[in-house]
Amino acid sequence: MAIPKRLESAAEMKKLMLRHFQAGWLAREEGRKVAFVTSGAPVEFLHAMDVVPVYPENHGAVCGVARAGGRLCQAAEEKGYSRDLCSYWKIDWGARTNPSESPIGGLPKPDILLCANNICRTVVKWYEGLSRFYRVPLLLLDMPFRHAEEEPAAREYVREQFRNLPDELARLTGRTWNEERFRESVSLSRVSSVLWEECIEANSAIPAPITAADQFLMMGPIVTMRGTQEAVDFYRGLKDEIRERVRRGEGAIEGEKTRLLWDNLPVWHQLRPVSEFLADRGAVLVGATYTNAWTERPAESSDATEAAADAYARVWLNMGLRHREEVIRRMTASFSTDGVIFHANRSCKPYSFGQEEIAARLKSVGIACILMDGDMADERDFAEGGWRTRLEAFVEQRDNHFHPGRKR
Amino acid sequence: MPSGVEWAFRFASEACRNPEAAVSRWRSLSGRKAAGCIPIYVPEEILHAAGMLPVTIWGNEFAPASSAVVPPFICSVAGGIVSSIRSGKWKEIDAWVFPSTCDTLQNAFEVLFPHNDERPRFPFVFPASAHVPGAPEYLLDRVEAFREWAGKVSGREVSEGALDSSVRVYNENRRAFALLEKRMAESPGSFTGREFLTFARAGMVLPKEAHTKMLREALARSHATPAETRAKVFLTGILATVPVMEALDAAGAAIVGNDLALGTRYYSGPTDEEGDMLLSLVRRHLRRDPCSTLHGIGRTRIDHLFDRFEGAGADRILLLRVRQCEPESGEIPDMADESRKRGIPFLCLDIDLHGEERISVTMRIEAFVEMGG
Repeated sequence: MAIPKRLESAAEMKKLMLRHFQAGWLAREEGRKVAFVTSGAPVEFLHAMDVVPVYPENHGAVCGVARAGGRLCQAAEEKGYSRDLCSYWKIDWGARTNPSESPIGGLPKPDILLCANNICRTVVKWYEGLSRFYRVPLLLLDMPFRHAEEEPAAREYVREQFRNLPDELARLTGRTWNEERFRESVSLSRVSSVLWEECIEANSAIPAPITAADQFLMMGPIVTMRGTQEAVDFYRGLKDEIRERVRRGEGAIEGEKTRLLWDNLPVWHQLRPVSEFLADRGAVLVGATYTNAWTERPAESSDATEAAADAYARVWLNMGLRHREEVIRRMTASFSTDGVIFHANRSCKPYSFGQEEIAARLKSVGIACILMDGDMADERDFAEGGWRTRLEAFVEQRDNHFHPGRKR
Repeated sequence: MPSGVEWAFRFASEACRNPEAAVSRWRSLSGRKAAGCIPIYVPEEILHAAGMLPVTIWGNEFAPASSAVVPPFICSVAGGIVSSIRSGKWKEIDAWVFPSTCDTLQNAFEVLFPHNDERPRFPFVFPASAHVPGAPEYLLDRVEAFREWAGKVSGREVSEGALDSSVRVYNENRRAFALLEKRMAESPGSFTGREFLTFARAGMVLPKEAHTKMLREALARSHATPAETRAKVFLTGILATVPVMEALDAAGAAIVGNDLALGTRYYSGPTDEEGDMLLSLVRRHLRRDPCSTLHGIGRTRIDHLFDRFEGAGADRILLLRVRQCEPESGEIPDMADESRKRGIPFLCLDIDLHGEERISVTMRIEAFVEMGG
C-alpha cells in the first residue's frame, strides 16, 4: 500500500495542540479566564484580554479523528438530542457528561462564551445550550449572510459589534482592554494566515508536496492559535519544509497521476484510510476548500477592529454559492486538478446544501465532480464499502480520461 | 345555504387544498402581482402596501417532487419549497422574498431557481438578535431596501399612507387570529385541530382582509362549551400537519394553545400604528416572541413556552419537530427536563412533511392523550 509521506512538522503540531488543550485546563490555576469560541469568532479580542480560547468544534474534530464521535453522539441522543443534529454539537454534549470518552478528557468549564454565526446558525443554538448548562454569559456576534455584494449597512452592523466587544469583555473579565495586544494579535493572525496560504498554494507544484489530508491535520493551529506567535512560528517551519520538498521535486505520494480537490470538512475518522486509498491509486488530494477558508485575514489597516470585522464577515460559509463556485473554479485551475470530491456532510447543512448545484455548474464546464455522503465526526454515518467503490470508479475514470490506453 | 362557520371553513379548506388556484384567482381579479414569502419573518405589510399579495409557502402545499439539488439531510420544509419551485409549481408567483430564517433556507435561496427563472427575488437578511448592538439600524436599512424593491417589482411606490393602512389591515388580522386562539383556550374543543390548522394555513395564501373576515365568521360560532375533552394540548414546533391534527381530534384532544411558527409565532405581535411605519415594523420584529430561529438569552424561550402553556390552561405539551430542523432541535432536552420537573406530560413527535407515517403518528398521539395530565 502506498502511504503518503509524513511531514516532520507533524510532531511539532502535536506538541502545539497538546499545549493548547492544556492551556484551557491550566487557565484557572493561572488566574485566567476561559472562553469557549466558535471557529469563526474573532479570537484576537480574547488574546488582548489574556483570556484562553477553547474550541468545542476543534474538540469535535479531535474526537472524530480518534473515532470517539459515534459513542459521544449516542450519549447526546440518549439525552434527547436528535440523530440528525450536528455531530460536533452532540460530541460536545456527550463529552460534557462522559469526559472519559474524549481522547483529551473533555474540555474545561468556560467563564464566557463567544459565538459568531458566520460559520452557521447552528452554533447559536449550541452556545445557547452551553450558556444554560454552565450558567455563563454568551456574547453573540451576528454576521449577516452575504448572498451577493456586501451591503454597506451590514458592514457597519458587524463593525459596530466589534467596536462594542472590548467593553463587553472588560465587563465580563474585570480586566482593562489592551489595544496594543489586540493590534499585535490581529497582525499575527494576518502573518500566520499568509504563511498558511503559502503552504496551501505550494500544491500548485507537480507533484504536490503535501496532501489535503495533511492540511486538515496541520490546520489545527490556524484555527485554534491564530493571533499568536506560536502559530506564526509553526507555519514558518511548515512552509520551509514544504518549500524544500518542492525544491527537491518530491511529491507527497509516489507516482502521482490524479489530482483532486476536496470540498467540505473532512471525514475526520477516515482521513488516513481515504488518503492512503487514493495514494494507492496514484491519486492525491491537492487542495480543500475548508483548509483554504482559513486564508481569509484582516487587511493591513490603521483600524485593526474594522479590518478584523470585515475579514470575519466574509468567511467562507458566510458567503453565497456564487462565491464558493468561483473559489472552487480558481482552485481547480491553480492546482491543475482532475476533479472535485464533494463531501456531502450531513452534519454541516450550510456547507453541504448547494453542493449539487455547484457540482452541476462545474460539470457543465467540464470539471468532473463526485458527491460522497458522510459525516465529519460520526463514524456511524460512513459506509466504507460505498466510499471505496465510488472513489475507485471516480479515480479510474479520471485516470482513463487523462491517460487513455495506459495500463494501470 | 351554509352557516357562517361552514362557509368560512369551506373557504379556508379550498384555499389550502389548492393554494396556487387561490393565488391565480386573486391575480386575475386584481390584475396585480403575488409575492412568494419563505417562512417566517417577512414584513408582509410592505408587500401589501405595494399592492401585492404576500403568499407564505411552507413546502407541503404540493405532493413532493424529486429534486436533484435537495440532499436527504435537508428538512422537508426547505426540501418541499425547493422541489416545488424547481418542478414548475408556483408559476403564479411573480417575485420571491427569502428571509434569513435558518442556514437551510439561506442556502435554499441560492439553489432554488432553475437557470431560466428570472423572477425578482429579495434576500431579507435580518438581525439574529434584538440585543446585538446596531441591530435596529441594520434592520431599518433592510426594511427600507425591501420597501424600495417591493415598489419596483409591483410598479407601485410604497407610500407612507399605504403602509399605514396595510399595518392596520395586518393588525386586524392578528387580532382576529388571537381571538380564535383565545376561544380555543377558554372553550377547549370549540375548534378542532383540523379547523385550527386550516384557518391558520388559509391566512398564508388569502388576502389578509378576506382571511380576517373568514376568521370573524368562524368566531360567530356558538360559545357553548363543547363536549368534555380528554386532553388540553399545547402545541409547539414549526408547524402542524393534517395527520397530526386529525389524530389529535380523533383521540379527543383539544388544542388550547400553541407557539407554532405557522401559528402564534406568525400571527402574534401587533405593529405600532403611530409614527413612522417602517420604524414600527422594525420594532415589531425586534420585539418578537422567543423563537428557535432567533437568538434568545438564557432560558428565554423555555420560560416563555411554560408561561404560555400555563396561560392557555393546557395539561400537556406536544412538540412537533420537523426532521432535520436544527434550530428547533437544540432545546428539546431542556424542554423535556423542565416538563418532567413540573410533572407535565411531554411528547416530541418527529414529522416529515412528505413522508408522514400516519399510523405511527396516530398511535403515539393516542398514547400521549391517554397519559395522566
